[in-house]
Amino acid sequence: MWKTFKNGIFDQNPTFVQLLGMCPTLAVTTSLINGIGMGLSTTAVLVLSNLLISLIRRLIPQKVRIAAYVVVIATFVTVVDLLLKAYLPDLSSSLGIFIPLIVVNCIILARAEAFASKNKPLPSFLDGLGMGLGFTLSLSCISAVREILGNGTLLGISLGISTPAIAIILPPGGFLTLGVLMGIVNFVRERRANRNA
Amino acid sequence: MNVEGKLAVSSSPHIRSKNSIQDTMLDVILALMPAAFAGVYFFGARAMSVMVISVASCVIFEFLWQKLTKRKVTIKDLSAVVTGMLLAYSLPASIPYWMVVVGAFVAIIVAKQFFGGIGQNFMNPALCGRAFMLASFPVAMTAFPGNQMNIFQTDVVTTATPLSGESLYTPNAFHFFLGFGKSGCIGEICIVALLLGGAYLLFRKVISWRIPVSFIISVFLMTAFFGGGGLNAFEALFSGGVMLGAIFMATDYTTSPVTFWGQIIMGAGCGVLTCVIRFWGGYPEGVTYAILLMNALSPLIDKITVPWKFGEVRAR
Amino acid sequence: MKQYVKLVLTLGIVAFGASLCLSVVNSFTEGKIAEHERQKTVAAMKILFPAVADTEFEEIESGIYKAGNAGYCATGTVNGYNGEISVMVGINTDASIVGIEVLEHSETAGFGAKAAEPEFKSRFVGARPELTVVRTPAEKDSEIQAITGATVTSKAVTKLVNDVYAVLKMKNLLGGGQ
Repeated sequence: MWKTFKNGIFDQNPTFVQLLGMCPTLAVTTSLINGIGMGLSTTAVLVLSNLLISLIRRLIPQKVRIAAYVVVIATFVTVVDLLLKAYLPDLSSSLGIFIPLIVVNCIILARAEAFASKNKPLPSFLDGLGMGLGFTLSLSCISAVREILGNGTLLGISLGISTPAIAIILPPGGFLTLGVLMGIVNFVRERRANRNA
Repeated sequence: MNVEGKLAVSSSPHIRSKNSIQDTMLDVILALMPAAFAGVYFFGARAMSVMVISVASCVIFEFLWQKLTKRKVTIKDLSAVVTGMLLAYSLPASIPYWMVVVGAFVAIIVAKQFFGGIGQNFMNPALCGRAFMLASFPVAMTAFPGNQMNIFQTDVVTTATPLSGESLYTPNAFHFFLGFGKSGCIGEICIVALLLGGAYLLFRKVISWRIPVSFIISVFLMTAFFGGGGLNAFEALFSGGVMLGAIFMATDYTTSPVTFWGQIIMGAGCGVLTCVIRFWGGYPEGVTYAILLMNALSPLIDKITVPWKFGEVRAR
Repeated sequence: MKQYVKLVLTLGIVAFGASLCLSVVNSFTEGKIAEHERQKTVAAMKILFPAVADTEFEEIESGIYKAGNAGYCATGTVNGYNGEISVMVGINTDASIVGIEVLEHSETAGFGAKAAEPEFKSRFVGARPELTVVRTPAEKDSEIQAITGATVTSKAVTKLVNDVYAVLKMKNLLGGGQ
């Protein structure tokens, strides 16, 4: 059980290892608050959709499987979008179009297909939670780096850097930061694997 | 042939003489010297310190990276020194020193070492560093210390460059050729100095005439045909980074095509792109991005300009 | 045949369940969302017309608000240097500009982004359209001084103000013309 949950955080981290959900990762990680907000919203959708899909997995015939899953995912995303717009409007306008785009975030459909459609509700719930938190963690790392180096702030609080390197907050910086962090994460994974082998 | 710093056979630079990388780099450094003197003459001691800091940072970063990743230390081949000089030449003399260090970091670590070191980079390292700095520090990178006062001076102590569209006293192309009457980056100011360096490199067979000539001719033709925003074709040629880029940056072995027509295409492409960016794009200067774009296209250009063997039947 | 019925039925039930869920959530968030939108617009208008009370702002047409008896507010978008710029323009009943508020932009920091700063915005206070952009400090009411190094942005914002003025004038909202 615990292993299912832990899987998504490091060993099969959606961003650095599975390379899923790259588009929102690059676009949204311009500030720590955005990264965390996006990660938690995706987690919410992931957990709910994994749970529901697991519950109805025996009822949906194979042929309409994907269509049904997409409807479920889209519904949950819309619910999250409406709730954000109503109760956290600033975060909602900050994340903008990327909340509705959670629907096409590969992570959700991938986990539904690979795990929730084949496992019981409780493990599916834990898998969704683990993957979601792993995603949130990676988004937070990337956004923290980009916000500090590219904007001179963290969580909106100024760190006293008068001229930050704006390029880091722009798209090239996103790719560079993602690449470097991915390299570090996989370097650590390899070392660990070599030691355990 | 027992040469120090030998490269993997498969990639450029393919040096066809008995020289090692170090010999080639020494020639380039020598060729860059006139421009160094010109930079100091027009911009003062600060130009010198920017150059020193740039070169030192590049060499130190290369050394540190190679030591930390347990690779062979190759700073003796002087390629980092050349990158440092070229980077400094493309910066305004008033740039804060720490920004120079950031640029050197991007040039050596990101653009060069991340890809495997000399011969493996796919973009000109000095220009990558400059492009990163331009995107990161737009205000500092476009504030040029004067050798002329802009008559429309308002609050900022900046001087218009010939390309920024604001008028100075009316110098002519000859002034530009010598370096008077305009402002700009440390190494691009004095055309005479750059041409001297270029002539030396041609004489020593370090570079070929193809890229620089096609680059320069296409810029000249484009400007003459489309009108250079108040500058005539010669003035446009002697403004901004065209000369520096055409002679020293676009000709970098690793990032340019090897075939005859490939090099002509690359030079022409650089020239056309520079003018497109200058006339219809949002930036006053287009050389940096033009060369970087053509760098990315070089492998493709090589592929399509491989000479046909006579009698060969192309597979359909 | 039977299997097709099962497919259609299953999908239909899923879709029905989804719609039900969505209508429930929508019903209790709808009001709040509309309220937030209005508050955002009113907050921007208050900056231009501080003397007018919140309730006196009324929308007479899509995007055009009447600010009590003091004048009018309209929002427009224009293509700047690096994307769209969204600006709210306040105009007095005597057809002079009350001021502008830059709502959204993606201009370069240190250059076009200066359009959102007080220095540039203040150049519009009291200006009289039809406005032109100049490099030197403005000498007439119809001149706006450009931002150093951000001519494209300055011209875009000025054009927007001119356009808003033209629209309001066309609708006969501004008394007396100019």
